[in-house]
Amino acid sequence: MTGLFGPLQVTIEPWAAEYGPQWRGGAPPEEAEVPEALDVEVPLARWAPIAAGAAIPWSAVAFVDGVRRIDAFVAISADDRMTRGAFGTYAAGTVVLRGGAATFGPAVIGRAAVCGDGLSLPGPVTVMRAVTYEPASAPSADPPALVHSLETRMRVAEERLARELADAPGALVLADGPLAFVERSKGATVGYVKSIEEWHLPAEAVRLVHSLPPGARSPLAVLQSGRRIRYTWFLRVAPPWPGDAPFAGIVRLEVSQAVGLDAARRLADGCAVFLPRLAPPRGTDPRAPSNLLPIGAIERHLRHRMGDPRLIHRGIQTLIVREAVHRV
Amino acid sequence: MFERASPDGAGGTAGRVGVVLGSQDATPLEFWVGAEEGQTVELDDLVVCAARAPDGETVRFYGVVDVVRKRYEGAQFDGDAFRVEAGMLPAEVSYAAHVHVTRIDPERFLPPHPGAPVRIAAGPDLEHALYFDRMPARLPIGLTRGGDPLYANLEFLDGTRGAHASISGVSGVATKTTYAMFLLYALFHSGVLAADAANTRAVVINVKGEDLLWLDHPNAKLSATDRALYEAIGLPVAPFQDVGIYAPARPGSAAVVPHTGSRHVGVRPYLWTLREFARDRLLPFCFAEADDARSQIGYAVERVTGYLADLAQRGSADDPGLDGGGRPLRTLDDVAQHLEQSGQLGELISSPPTREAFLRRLHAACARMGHLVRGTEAPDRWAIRWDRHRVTVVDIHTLHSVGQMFVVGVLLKRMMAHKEQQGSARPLVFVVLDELNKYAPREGWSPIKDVVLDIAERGRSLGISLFGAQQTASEVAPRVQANAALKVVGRLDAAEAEHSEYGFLTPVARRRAAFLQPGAMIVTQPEIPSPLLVRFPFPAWATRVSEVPAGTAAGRDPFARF
Repeated sequence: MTGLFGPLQVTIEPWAAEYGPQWRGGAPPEEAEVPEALDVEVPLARWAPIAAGAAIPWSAVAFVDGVRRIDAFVAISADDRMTRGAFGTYAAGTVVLRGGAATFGPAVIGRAAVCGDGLSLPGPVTVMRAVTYEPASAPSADPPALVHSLETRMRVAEERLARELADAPGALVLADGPLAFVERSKGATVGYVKSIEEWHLPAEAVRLVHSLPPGARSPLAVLQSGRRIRYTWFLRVAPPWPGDAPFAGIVRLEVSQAVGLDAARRLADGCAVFLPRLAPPRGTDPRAPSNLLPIGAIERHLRHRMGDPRLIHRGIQTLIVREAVHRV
Repeated sequence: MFERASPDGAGGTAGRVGVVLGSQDATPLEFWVGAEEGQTVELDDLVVCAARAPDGETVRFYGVVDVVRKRYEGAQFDGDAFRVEAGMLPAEVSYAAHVHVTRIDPERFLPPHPGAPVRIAAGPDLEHALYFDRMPARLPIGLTRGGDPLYANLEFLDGTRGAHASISGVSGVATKTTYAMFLLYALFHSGVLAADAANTRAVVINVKGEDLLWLDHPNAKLSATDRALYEAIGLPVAPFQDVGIYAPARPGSAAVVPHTGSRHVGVRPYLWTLREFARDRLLPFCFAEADDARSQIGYAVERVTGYLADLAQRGSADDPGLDGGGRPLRTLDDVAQHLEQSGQLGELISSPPTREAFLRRLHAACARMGHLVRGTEAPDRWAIRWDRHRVTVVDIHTLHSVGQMFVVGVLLKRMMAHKEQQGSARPLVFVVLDELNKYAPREGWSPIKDVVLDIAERGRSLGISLFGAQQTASEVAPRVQANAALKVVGRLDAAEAEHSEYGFLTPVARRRAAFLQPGAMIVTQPEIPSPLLVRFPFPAWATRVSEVPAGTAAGRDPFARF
C-alpha cells in the first residue's frame, strides 16, 4: 500500500494560493534571525505544550494592521537614463475590542510616488479629489525596493497608531506582523506573525510546535535581530483539519524583551486564551484560520478606504497622458 | 453633469436625515438615502433633496420613502452578524431608505447627485411633494403617519376632471365603508364644496347591519385621540347634518312601517306602487340574477314588461294598483296570478319551458320582495326622495338579495334618468355603494350592472360620483374600476393584491396592503404618482346604538313612553 503519493506525506497549505505558502521555511533569508535562547522559560529538553489558563487580563484589546498596494508603475527617463517609479497607497488601521463590542478605531491613509535610483518628483501630485501622492525616493529601481519604500511608510503609520493605543492603561495592542519597534510604552504591544519561519527552532522544538493542541502555546524563547531583542512563542489558534499541513492554525507571537519575563509569560498565557476565539472559520478568509477576524476586518476596511484601484489607475493614466500632450 | 447644491439650496440643514447614496443608482424617479448617525427615516416619510444644474438652476426632488433597511456594511457572511454581536468582528451599520420620487421641480429629469443632503419634507415642501399646491380645491382624505393632513384634488371626484372612488379590501378589517363615509364627511364638512355645498346630495346604501342608520347622531365613544385627529385634518367633530333615513316597508304588515331593528324614530319606510312598477318598466330589476339575461328568460321578461306597461296605461293614474281586466291587481302575487289565469302568459311566452322558468322566478321574486311593491298606497307617498336631504341613507340590509338588487337598480336608474332630464352636472350627487362586485360583477350582464356601468362612464358628466366598495376589485367589472379616479385599498388578501386591478400599487404598497390595520388605507390619485398611506380617525358619528349619546330621542326605545 503506497497510496497516491507513495512514501511522501502530502498535506495542504491552508491559505489561498495568491497569498503564497504559510510556511516560509526552507531557504533562510540573508538576515536570518537566530533564536538567542530557547530555555528562558523551561529548558529545551523539557519543552511541552503549555495549556492556557482562563483569565484575560486586559480591559481592551486593540489590533493594528496595515495594507499597501501599487496603484501604477511608471517608467521615468532622466538625462537619457531609464529608471522606474511607482505610485502606491498604504494604510494603517485599528480595531478595538472592548466591553463586548468590536469597533473600528483610527485609520491612516497615505500615498507616495516613489522614484527609483534616488530620484524624486518635485512636489505632491494630485490625481483627483482626495488622491494626492507625496514625493518619495528609493535607492534602487527594482520593484521590491519601490514596494519596500511604501512598506516602510506603512510600518511607520502602524507604529504610530500602535503607540497611541498602547498608551491606554490596561490595553493590549496586537500588531500584525513582526514587531518593528521595541520601545517601552505603558501597555504591551504583541507582534502577531502568521507566516511560519522555522529556522528559529531546532527540529525537536519544531515537532513540539506541530503537535500543539488548540489553545496551547510553546514555551518562550528569546529572539534577536540587531538591537531588537524579543520574547517569542508559538500558539495554535485553531485545530488542524485532516490533510492540513502540520503548521495550519499555528502562529508566532513576540513581545519586546523590555517587558520582562513574567509579563511576557502572562501575555503569552492571555493570548493563548483569547486569540483562538478570534480565529475565522475556514472559508471566510483566504488566510483562515490564522488571519484573525479583527485583522481580516481591518484589511478589508483599509483596502476599501484606499479607493477603487481601477479608478485610481485610470486617474494616474489620465493625468500623465494630459501632461504628455501638454508638453508637445 | 449635475452638482450637489449647497445646503441652502436644499433649504437649510434643518430636518436633514442623510445624503443620497452613490453605491446604488440615483435616478430621477428613485434613489437611495443613507441615514445619518442618530437620524431616523421611516416608511412613508416624505423627503426632499436639491441639486444644482450646471446652469445654476436648483432642482428639487420630492419623494416618499417606500423601503428602509439596515445592514452590516462589508459583512460578507451571514455568520458575521453573530461575530459582530459577540464583539469579535467590527462592522458599521448602513441604514438606508429607498425614495420613490413623486415630483421634480422644475421638471428636469436629471438624477440627483450622490452625497446631496436629504431632508424630511415638511410644511410647504410636503405640500409640494404631494402636489397639494396645485389643487384648487383640496378634499382632506386623512393624515400621514406623522400627523400631517393629506388631500385629494376635488376636481377628480366632482366630475371636473374625473369622478368616482373605488375602495377595496377584506371585509371586517379594511373598514371600507367607514372610509367611504369619512370621505363623504370630509366633502360636506371641510368647506371644499364651497358654493356647491348647499345643493350637493349624497345617497348611501346601507348593505350590512344598521351601521349607517345612526349617521345623524354624534359618536359618544369617540376618543380624545380621534378628536385630535379630526382637528389635525381641519374637520369638525360632528355627526352628519340633514340626514334622511329610509328603510324597506316591513313585510307581512299591512300598515307601512320601516323594517329596522334598533332604530325606528326618524326612519321613513319606502316602497313602490304597483302602477309605478308597471309604468316604469321595473320588472327586469327583479330578474337580476346573473344567468337570467343569458337564457330565454330575458326575452320573456321583456315581453311581460311591455304587457305590464300597457296595463299601466289603463285605469286611473291615481290608482296605485292595476286593472287586470276588471279584476283589481294590488300585489305582485296578483299580477302573477293574473298572468297565469288570464292566459296572457301563454300569448306572451309561447315556449312552455320558458314560461315555466319565468313563472318560477316571478313567484320567487314575489316571495322575496313582493312587499316592496304594493297597489294599495298613495302614489309617491313612500317613495325614496333622495333630493330632499343632504344625505339619504337607504337601508337594504334586511332585504333578500333579489330585493337588494331591485332597490339599488331602480334607485340608480331613476337617479340617472333624473340627472339626464336636468341636463346639468350640478347639483352633485355622491353615491356610496358597498358590495359593488354584486351589482357590477366582472362577468355576465344584468340591468343593474348596466346602470352601474352607465354611471361609471357617464356619471362624471352628469354630476354623479360613485364611491364603490368591494372586497375584491378583481371581481368587479373592469370598466367600473377603470373609471374611478380615486383608488383606495385597505387590508388586502395577499393573493388578491397580485391581480392586475391593483396595478396602481407599487410592489411595496402591495405587500404593505397585506397588513394594513383598521383606520389605515392606501390611496392613489391621478396627480400623485405614488400610493400614499393614509390614516383616518374613527367616525365622529354613531355607527351603532351603543354609541348614541344617552338621552337622545332616537336612541331610546320608541315604546318606552307607553
